[in-house]
Amino acid sequence: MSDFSSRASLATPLHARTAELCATNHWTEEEGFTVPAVYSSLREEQEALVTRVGMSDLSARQCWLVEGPDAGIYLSWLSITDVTRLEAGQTARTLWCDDAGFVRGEGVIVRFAAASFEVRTAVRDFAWIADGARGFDVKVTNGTGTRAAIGVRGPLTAALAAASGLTGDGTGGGQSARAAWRPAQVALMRDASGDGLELWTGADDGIVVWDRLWKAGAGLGVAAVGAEALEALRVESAIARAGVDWLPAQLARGSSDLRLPGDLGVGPDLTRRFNGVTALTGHQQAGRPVLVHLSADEPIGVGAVTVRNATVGTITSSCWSEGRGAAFALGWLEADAVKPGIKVTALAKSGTVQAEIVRAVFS
Amino acid sequence: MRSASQASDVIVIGAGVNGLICATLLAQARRRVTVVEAEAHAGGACKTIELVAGHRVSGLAHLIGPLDAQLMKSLRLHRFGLTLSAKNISTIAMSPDGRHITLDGDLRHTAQALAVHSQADAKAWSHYDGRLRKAAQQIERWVQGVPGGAAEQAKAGLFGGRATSKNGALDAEVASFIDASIAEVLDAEFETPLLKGALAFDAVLGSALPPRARGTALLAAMRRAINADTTEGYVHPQGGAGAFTSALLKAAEGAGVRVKLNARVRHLLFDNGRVAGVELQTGEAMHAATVVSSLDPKTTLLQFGASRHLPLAMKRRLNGFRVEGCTAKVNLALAGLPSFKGIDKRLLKERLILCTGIDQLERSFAAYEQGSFSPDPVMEITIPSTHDTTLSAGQHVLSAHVFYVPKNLASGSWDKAKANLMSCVGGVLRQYAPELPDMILAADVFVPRDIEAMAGTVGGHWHGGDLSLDQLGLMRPAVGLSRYETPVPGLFLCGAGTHPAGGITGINARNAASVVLAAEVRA
Repeated sequence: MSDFSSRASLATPLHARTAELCATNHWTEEEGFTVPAVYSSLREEQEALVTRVGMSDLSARQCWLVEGPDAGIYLSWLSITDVTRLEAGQTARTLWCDDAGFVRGEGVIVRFAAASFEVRTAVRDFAWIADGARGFDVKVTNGTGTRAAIGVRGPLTAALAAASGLTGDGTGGGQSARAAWRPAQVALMRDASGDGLELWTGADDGIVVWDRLWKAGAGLGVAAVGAEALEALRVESAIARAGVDWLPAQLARGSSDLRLPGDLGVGPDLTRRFNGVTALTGHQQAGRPVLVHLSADEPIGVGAVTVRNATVGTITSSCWSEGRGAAFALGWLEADAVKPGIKVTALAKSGTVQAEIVRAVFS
Repeated sequence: MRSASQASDVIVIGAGVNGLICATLLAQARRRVTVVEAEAHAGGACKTIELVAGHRVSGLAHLIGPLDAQLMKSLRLHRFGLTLSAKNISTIAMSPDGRHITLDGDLRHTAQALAVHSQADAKAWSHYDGRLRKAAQQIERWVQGVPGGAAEQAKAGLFGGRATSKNGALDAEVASFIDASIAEVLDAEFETPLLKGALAFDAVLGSALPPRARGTALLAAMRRAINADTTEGYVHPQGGAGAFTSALLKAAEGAGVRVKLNARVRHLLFDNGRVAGVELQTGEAMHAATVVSSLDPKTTLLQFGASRHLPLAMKRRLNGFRVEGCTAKVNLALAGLPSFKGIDKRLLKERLILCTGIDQLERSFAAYEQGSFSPDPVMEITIPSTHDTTLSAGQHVLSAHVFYVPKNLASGSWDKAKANLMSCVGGVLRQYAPELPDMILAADVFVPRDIEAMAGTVGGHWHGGDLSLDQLGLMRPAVGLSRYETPVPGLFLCGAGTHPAGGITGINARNAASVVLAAEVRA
């Protein structure tokens, strides 16, 4: 997410609806697409996510189609997951490494059919997957912008799905069902938190699906939720975000920015062959920085974290939770400094704030 | 590493010079080696062809060397029928007015030849030669040896610690020299355009770089460094380049190498990510724990199934390896020996550079950049029939490397443009030998597209890939592939696409063989 700028941005397939609902006219840019930052008020949207159900436009996600006889083999080489084991309709949340074994991207791989997969990710890096396909019998297409994606989040998510007729096995964990939800074809999957749903459909069907959900959710108090409320919920829920809490290897400014799969809580099968595995085997895992979840009574700023005036890490993202009346943050700390319950000093709007380490995110 | 069930320990793909030398060295180290060659004859870019009945000529490469003396000794090619019709071939910078300059490696002779044009240049020659020699000495280990890897570059610089003076570091003066353009260096030293043209031509020959491009002085130093351990310099085998291959083939077979002709590789075989042999177009599977390819790296790694096993960034880098050729080969059958203005016919056995100055090189490059060729192209010619009577009974053949000829034309097709190129070449030759064009009995023109097919190398590049600092050493053909090894265990490279590039030197093959043997020890 970045501040809205004057340079040309793309409209998502849901723009007509999100524009109608965006009373604040406060927009932001995500991966080149314009999406609402706040629809009504941050407080109301956070409240909807915590107490009822919220709908959001996730169509800025990258979407890469990989089709052909070698599609499964190629994606199993690209990513750390053997996706040839997926059944049609199943999804795998995975990540992929560069040649040196550092994490280059993360996302979800969906298997539609024997020779048809789709990679969905927030990291723009299509050339990597397209160039890497050379030598494999696959066709790689950038479908970004040709899909509408709707996020549904909140305690009434299941109720909204039921009310709108989306009660197939797609709402089960790890499944991506293709619901014949006339007139639209919709694919469902769990979101990164595991609590919400993502609905993916063709760009032309996006408005139809949005409207149907919106109508079904009227009695449940559904609210449109913008990027800022989603971001706050993400930090509150301790979900790391690529490009914010960790940098994909190709964007790293130095070796300290580079992340191994283990840093992100993933332990790949090193006996399997995938891109970067040789280098990964040689990396030291011990003593690596640890991503921690922190909380405080007042807003936490992004920047250095100290303990007794010694810098021990960096806050990478933070939020203020209206619902819980507390600040939350994510940050990387030196392994020795991570002890749940202890206080660290972080930057605040003016001066510093004492933040408590809640837990290591990937413990 | 031997397996009793395997007929070969090593399969070498391609029976060109590098393939055969590598196979021979490995066989001499008691490995069971099989060479598979797609064509009916060995040789790759090093063959003698019949131009027209009674006239034979080296099809592509027309001079051999400089070959390392130690390597030549171990190959014992003279025992296998190699006879040289000329050796230590000199270079003559040809002038249309007949005031040629002979550059024979002897400081005094060259200074005398230069004095005719410029006393100042005659005096400067020894200084320039000293600078070049010093640069060559300091990069010799880097040029001749196995390049370092990326880690060594990070630790010890671009040359991986292999370019050093006696004090252990690259001399600042040498560093400045190899970073400069050859035109810049020559302009500072000399005033005679003909001399500067010939020296600049030699530096950039075969590279898609103009003489004013930064780093081209390095190429001049590289040539000198390759020359360091030779006793015979450039040589011409009796019978043309194919005679050299023929001797190599016999030497290989003498060492126990099995050479299988008409055996085109369809793809490599793999076993759990490790190379396990090759499958031929016929469907025949040949198994070996080690495969060494003398083909170009792009074909080997991107077209034979290995790309499935390559790290993604490396595959990208290899895609970016520039391999488009920029040199054409023209072969002429002549009714007699033409007279060149101002030169004794006995000197026509030397290597003749037809380039009047750096400006002519620049004009030729400018045309090349526009997807065309100059109407006044620069070239290197030899007339091997002056010392090798087996090529043309009583008549003569001329072989020319015509420089800055694009693989693809910006407009039109090569089918029609070849006649135009031949006409331009004839026009240049007429400036030096007025009667020559009228003596032409037959002509072959091979542009990079033809060379691609004839030598079986993607892009048809004379050196197997452009020569420039970003494509040499640890970056040739790509970072991570520079040490003749690949990420696929058991798969190695030994062709001109590896360091230190093309030219018939055998360095690539020698280094690759040593790496293969060292890898076996590690395993």
